Parts: sequence; C-alpha cells; structure tokens
Amino acid sequence: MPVISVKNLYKEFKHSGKTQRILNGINIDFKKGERVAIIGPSGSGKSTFLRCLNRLEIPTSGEILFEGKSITDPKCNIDEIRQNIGMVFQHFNLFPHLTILQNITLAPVALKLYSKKNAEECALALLEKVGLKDKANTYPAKLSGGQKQRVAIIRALIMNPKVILFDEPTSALDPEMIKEVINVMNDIAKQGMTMIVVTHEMSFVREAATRVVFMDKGRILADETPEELFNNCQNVRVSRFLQKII
Amino acid sequence: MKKFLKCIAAVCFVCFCFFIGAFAKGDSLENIKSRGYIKVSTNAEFEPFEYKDADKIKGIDIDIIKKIAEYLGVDVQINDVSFDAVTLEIKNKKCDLAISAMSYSEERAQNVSFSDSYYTSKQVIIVPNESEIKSEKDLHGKSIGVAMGFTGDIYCTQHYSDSKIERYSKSSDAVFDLLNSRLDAVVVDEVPARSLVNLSNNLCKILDGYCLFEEEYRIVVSKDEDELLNVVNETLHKMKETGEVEKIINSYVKNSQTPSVDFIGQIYNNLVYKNRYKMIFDGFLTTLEITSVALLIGITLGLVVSLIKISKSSSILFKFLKALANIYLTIIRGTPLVVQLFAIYYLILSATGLNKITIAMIAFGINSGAYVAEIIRSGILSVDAGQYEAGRSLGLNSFITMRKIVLPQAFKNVLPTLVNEFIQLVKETAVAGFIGITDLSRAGDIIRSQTYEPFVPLATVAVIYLAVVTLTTFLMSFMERRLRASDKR
Repeated sequence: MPVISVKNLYKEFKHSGKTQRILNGINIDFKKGERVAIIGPSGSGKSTFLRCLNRLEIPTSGEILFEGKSITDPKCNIDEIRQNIGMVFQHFNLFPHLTILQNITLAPVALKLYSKKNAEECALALLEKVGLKDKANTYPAKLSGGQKQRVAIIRALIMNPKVILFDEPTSALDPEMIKEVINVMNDIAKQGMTMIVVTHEMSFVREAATRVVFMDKGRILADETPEELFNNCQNVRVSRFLQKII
Repeated sequence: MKKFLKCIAAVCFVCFCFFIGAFAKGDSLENIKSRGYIKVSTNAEFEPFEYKDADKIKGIDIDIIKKIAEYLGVDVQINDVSFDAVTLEIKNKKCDLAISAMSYSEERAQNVSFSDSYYTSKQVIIVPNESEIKSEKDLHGKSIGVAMGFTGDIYCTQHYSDSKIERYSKSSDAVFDLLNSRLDAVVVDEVPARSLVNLSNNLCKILDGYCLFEEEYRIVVSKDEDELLNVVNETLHKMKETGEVEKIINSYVKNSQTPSVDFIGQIYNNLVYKNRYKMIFDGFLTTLEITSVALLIGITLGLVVSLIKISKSSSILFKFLKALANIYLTIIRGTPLVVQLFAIYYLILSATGLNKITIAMIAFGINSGAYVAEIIRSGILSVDAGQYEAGRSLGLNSFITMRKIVLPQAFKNVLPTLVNEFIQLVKETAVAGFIGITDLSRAGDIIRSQTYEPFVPLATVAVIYLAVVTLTTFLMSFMERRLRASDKR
C-alpha cells in the first residue's frame, strides 16, 4: 500500500469573483522509502500540491489517502495524521520567542510523545548530528539561514514522521548555505525516510531522489527516475525547463 | 444551540427584572422594618444639608432622616449619588427615601412623590463685593452661575432667558468662578450661600433683601409608596412641633473657617484637617480596585472576542458569535463611556442589587474589553501566518498552537499598546464619580467643595495619577526588555 495516494485532486482559488484553477486533476502514489523531487516552473502548483498533502490547503475536490485513511474527509483527526507528516518550510517558520531547544521539543512534549527530559535529550542528540548542539539555548534570531533550516528539519524529524514534506527548503538561502542543508537532507534520505521535496536544487535530485515529478499548470507532465529524466527526456516542455536550470 | 437558548433565557430574565422593578406595588415600609434599616439616597455635595466629612456623610438632611429612622425604630444606610441620579434612584427603587435639599417641581413630580416641607429655603443672589448688580433686575444680560439641575437653574433658565446661564456641578465651583470674574452672579440656596460667602473670606456677598423665590425642601418617595409617605409626613410634623428640626438646622449654622494663610496652611487644611488624607487614600484604593478588576475582565473579554472575530470557522454558532462580537464592538466603541456606565448602572444591572463598585468594575471591564479585543486582534494578525501553519503541521491543535505559539508573540507585539490601554483605564475610572463612587478624583472634588481651595486637592490627585502611570510605564519597559531578549542578534 502506498504511504500517500492522491486521486483526482483539484484546487481552485477565488480571487475577486474570478476562479483560478491551481491543481488540475492530479493522480499519484508515493511509496514507502521513496524520495520524490517535484520540479517545475513557478506558478505550476507545486507548493499548493505539497500543502494539500497535510491539508494546510483544503482541496476543492479529489481524495488524498494517508496509509489508506482519507485526510480529505472533514471528520478525520487531521492533528493525529499531521504528527506523521513532517513539514519543512521555505522560510523555516521557527518560533522566534522560543529557544532552539524549545522550538524542537514544544510539539513532542505538548502532545505527550516524550517526557520533557527525554525530548530534550533526543533534541540535543539530533542537534549534535547537524553540528548545532552549542546553539541549543540561543534564539532563532541569532542563527544564519542555513542553521535555521537545519533546526527546522530536526523539529520535523523529532516527531518520528513517516513522511517529510519539504517546501522549497533551500530557496531562501544564500548559495553557500544551501550545501549544509542539502547534506542534512541527503543524510536523512540514506536512513530510508520517505521524502517529498519541492525543489530546484539539482544536487539533491541527482544524489538522493528516486523519482522526479515535473509539474506545469496544475498537471503532472513527467514522472520518471532522475536518470530517465536527465538522459532521455521525451517531453519538449520538460527538456526546455531542464536546459534553463542546469 | 444550547448556549443560544441560554442567552435568550438570560435576556428574558433581565427584561423580567425590569418589569418587576417598574410595576411592583409599594411595600417598602414592611421591607424596611423586616430589613432593619432604611436605604436613603442623597447627593453629599451640598453643605450644610448633606456633605462628606472624612468618610462620613453628614448634614441637616441626614440628621432629619436619622430622626425619622429613630421614630421607626430602624437604622439608616446612606447612599451617595450625583444629584441628577437622586430621583432616578427612587424611581428605580434602589432606595426607599431620597433627601437632598430637593424642592417640588412638576417635572420631578411626574416620576416621584414629595413629602411635606421640612425646611423653607430662599434662593439668593451672590455677587462680588464691588458689583454693579444691585437688585434682581440687574441680572438680565449678565452671566449667572447655578448648580446644574437645582431649583436655581430651573428658575433662572425660565426668568433670565436673556442672560448667560452657566451650569456647575458644584455651587462652590460657581463661587470660585465668581471670584475670578468669570461670572457676574451666582444664584443658590440661602444656607449654603452663607457658608460659601464665609468660606470665601467675605470676598463676595449675598445681595441683601433680594430673594428670587422661596422653596420648600421635601423628602422624596417612590410614587406608589403612600403608606411610607404618610409615616414620613407624620414624623416630620412631630419633629416640627417639638422643635427638633430647628435644633438640627441651628447646629449646622457655620460662620467661618480658619482661612489658610499660606501654602503649608492650605496643605494642612486640605489634607490633614479632619483626616482628609484618608479620603484621598481610600479613593485611591477604590480607583486601583476598580481599574485592576476591570483590566482583568477587559483582557479576558478582549481575548475571547478577538479569537471569535479571527476564527475562520463557518459553523452557525460561530457566525452567531461573530455577529454578537461585532455588535458589542460597535456599541462600546461608538458610545461615550459615561453613557455606558449610566446604562449599565441604571438600566441593565439596576435590578441585580450588585453594589456600585462591582457595577463600575463590570462597566469599565466591558468597555475596556472592546478596545483590548481590537488590540489583541491586531497583535494576532501581526504574527506571520507561517507560525500558525508550522504549529499545525506538527500536529498541534488550533488551541495549543494559539496558546503556545501565536498568542505569546501577539502579546509581545502589542504590549506597549495594551499598557497604554491600562494607563487610559486608570484615568477613565474617574468617571465612576458620576454614579457616586468616591474614587480618587471624586475624593479630591469633595475636599475642594469643602475647603474652597482648589489647588491642593487637584494637585494631590494629579500627582497620584501621575505616579501610578509613571510606575506602570517603568514596569512595562522592564517587561519589554525581557521579552525582547529573543530579538537580539
């Protein structure tokens, strides 16, 4: 059974009377252990699609199943499902009024997944892996962008999610900081985590992705392995886009 | 839906209470006897008939009421309200009797009943010593000071339509303006007029031999209380026959008071003499008490209202609550605080029997809540939407996300504005004097009306307010510095 299964997904926004269709009938399955990169031009609906997967956006129609349970059903316990779907944002969204350690331990302690002490130990161990243990008691304002994003990844990771969604995790970073975040993501990939990543970062696509999905105008135009995509792409629109960014 | 029904039930209950209050047949006499005391309303700002001395209410009227109570074999509970409110108190059955140097007028008689006269007062004219006003005819075209709502006001308004009538809440203020050449004459009852002239150290005088008209002071009773009225009249007759009334009046004829020659003397006279500082201190405590409880009510109410307004839920209950919140905000922010205080005191909560201070706390709390709601709402909106999303994406429900992530940041952002609202509230509670609460401002007012020296009481009150506000500002900057610790790079 796929971890996430998307059937006939549509999403429309209404802007001053005009209806704008962002997602135009998406069907796709994500299997356990897959690392899927979603690429495509801006405005193609990648981020909206990703945000539908944990219902930060509510789809207009269609169905999304997480481990066989519908998350589009209004009656489902979305908070419980979200505990299993981590999310990393483009702008990090760390909580500025809390220290790094508090940022990471807030949710697991509030949801009683860990005792406070266990959560802190676990957070410190994870921080050590990414080389930020010494920042545990500082506030986010003191960190660089790359450091913030690594903390955000750990904040998602400590929940032991089954999937992590990455929404353009490196787009807001200076070039020299991209590498440190990509390295952390590649490490997570090696441990077998299921990852769905909206990105333009080809080094992640080449090194870690098992599948690449190309989206344009709310549709999936290609869904292949990285080798297939880079070496013999049949779709004109896709190859033109790839030429531009590589 | 249940909550909705409860709301309707509550509204019905309040209406019912009004109904009972408005149409119940008079049975005060029995109530007084079983209760063991008479509830009496007065406006203790009319020396020597009723006035505050330290924290006690004294005066000719008060002594007369005490005698009546003595005949009835019960105690007296005096309730001090503004003069405009005295008849309202009777009409709304907040008290049994009202005595406040009040004379008969048709307007008043529409709402309340009057007893027989217990004292005949003359309306006299006070003028500066060197005045060109020699008789009542000279009053035409002049500016005349009167006490608002008093008989002098009604008389002059009718007879001197070509004059400029200035209405004061205290006749002592009118005399003060007279001495400062802002007025040409003051029209006021005779006995207080004598005291006022004495207190001014004879810088002004009563125009000899000219009395605008006489009036009879009467006790006020609710319209349907014939039985109580009869008892009051009988007692008054007995008191007149035995000379008790005259004795009481004579005991209040006060010739003069030691004038304050210097600043130290003024301070002594206004703050130390007769333990007047105690009134200021008690008033200060009352102000603090009202402000702090009102603030708690305001923040709680404001938080709830702002969360209702900000929620995106489309359920019927929430739509109803949102409409309610909007009505609340519109009414509270669209009407003056004094009007709200009066409405809550005389209409909405008049049947509940809550004491004044509690009602003031509720009224100020409700008022503050509307402003706090908008402050908190703007605070919540100032927090990036990504913060809420990040919380929810971790599996936290909306309540925990708001409490642990959004609200702490929102509060930090609006702290200066919230403290400003508190500062505003401290000063706005001065309005409580309108329903007869002796708060800090009113304590100063009362002393001023007794000593006739405005500087020391006003300055004392101002300095105390200033000290509270300064201390609050200091505490805020301390708190802000701590909250801003996370912002430093």
